[in-house]
Amino acid sequence: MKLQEIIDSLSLKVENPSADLSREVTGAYVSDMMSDVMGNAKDGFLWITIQVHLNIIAVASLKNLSGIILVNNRVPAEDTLKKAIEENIPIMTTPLSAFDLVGRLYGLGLRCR
Amino acid sequence: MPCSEGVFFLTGKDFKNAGAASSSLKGILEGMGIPAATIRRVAIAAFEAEMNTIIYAVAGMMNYFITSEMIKIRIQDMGPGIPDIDQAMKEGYSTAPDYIREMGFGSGMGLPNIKRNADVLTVNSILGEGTTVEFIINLTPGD
Amino acid sequence: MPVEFRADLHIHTCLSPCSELSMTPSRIVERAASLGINIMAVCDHNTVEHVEVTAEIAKKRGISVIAGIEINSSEEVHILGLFENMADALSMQTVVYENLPGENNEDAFGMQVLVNESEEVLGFNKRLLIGATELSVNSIVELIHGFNGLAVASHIDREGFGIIGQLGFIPEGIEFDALEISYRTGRAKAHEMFGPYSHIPWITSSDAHSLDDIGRSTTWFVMEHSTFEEMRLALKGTEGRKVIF
Repeated sequence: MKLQEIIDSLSLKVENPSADLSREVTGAYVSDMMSDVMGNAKDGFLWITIQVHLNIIAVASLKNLSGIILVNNRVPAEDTLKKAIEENIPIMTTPLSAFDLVGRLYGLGLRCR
Repeated sequence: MPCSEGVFFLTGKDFKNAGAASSSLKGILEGMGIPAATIRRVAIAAFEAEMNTIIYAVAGMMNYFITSEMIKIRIQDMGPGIPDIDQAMKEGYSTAPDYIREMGFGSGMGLPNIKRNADVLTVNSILGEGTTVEFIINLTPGD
Repeated sequence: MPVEFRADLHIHTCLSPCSELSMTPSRIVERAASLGINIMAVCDHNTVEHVEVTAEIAKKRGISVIAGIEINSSEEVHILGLFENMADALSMQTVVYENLPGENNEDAFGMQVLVNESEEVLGFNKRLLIGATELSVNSIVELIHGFNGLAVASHIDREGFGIIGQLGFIPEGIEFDALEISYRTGRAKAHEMFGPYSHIPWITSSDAHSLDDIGRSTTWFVMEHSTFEEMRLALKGTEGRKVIF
């Protein structure tokens, strides 16, 4: 499933539209703990979290994730957005809770490879 | 493949640059044509080791050595040291203060994550002096 | 399990008259750091006044600094004293100063500049740091041990100021903790030349008098962490620690 498809279907707001939104999404992981994501998320996954600080970009970059979705109307910190643009990591936001967002992702047919 | 080495510097509590060393290292490995799966393991282990230094230590130096047989990374930090290494290796055990946990760090998975991704892990510490973490990830011939 | 640390245990600063003025504590740390050196010993001639500031700067780079001093004996032999802490190093310095006659002549020997971490000049050391003390090799080694330090015979492969060059041999009964082979002599040649002394541990270092010299020769210490006590064990070759010359 392509990232752009997901963005369109779930009306996600893209904070850095210049990023590569054509990536293939291979699954998703929900966590607010950095080491948990480092240990368990896989290449191409979407990361759903409420953490907005700069270090989420380093994690996403090292794990080669397809993007980060911030839930509950959270917005990325200023330096986080800057880093996201530099590293080409798409950051999307939604008013939905993690539960609702993930339910809809699942409903779209997204499964972890 | 020629032997290559280099160094990165880690400053305690410098969250702004957290992950910079591991990212640079990942870039270097990618440039050397090392397999993606191996780079993933190095990235995770290096990141966790880097974060441990930034979260808990005063400062540290990360030396990396790349040969045709292996990638070796050693971080020497300047304190405070780990009182009980066995305990520190347990999943979920953490001495992180609240403000660290609020950022999503300090879950107690750092050292276990390194162990899971490295072929050899050595953790030495002297209380009051510092900690040395060294891990090795082997390269299979042909890499 | 012990791991390898890279050490350069003989680095001068701008306090030594024969060193370049650019050898300020902050610059020597930067240079050592860029070369991935984990342990540095600051060894100026007959003084330890730049050790503390260097150690503070180095800490921020994750480098351990050993308090050192290169003492010039009455026989004009250079001996390195390496100490665990500043207190011991300062005690050694006190004795050295008490036995060091003469005043420096800047035109003849060079400047002996004391600086802070921002490279601001704090003053000039007036003593004749390049001069010989009134202490014999024996006394110096005993004093270093008395202050819990390690005594290393400097650059034994060097004619000038090396113990073998000056005395012709290493006298029996003097307990050096290590012999330093300088960057000038390779391993094979060193074994040829100093075979009879291989029962004493050998190290090599840069004896840096300019920034580019730093790290031109280093020793691998195999030990648990970069502390003085671990280095002591490594030189003895006990408990799994060792030194790779």
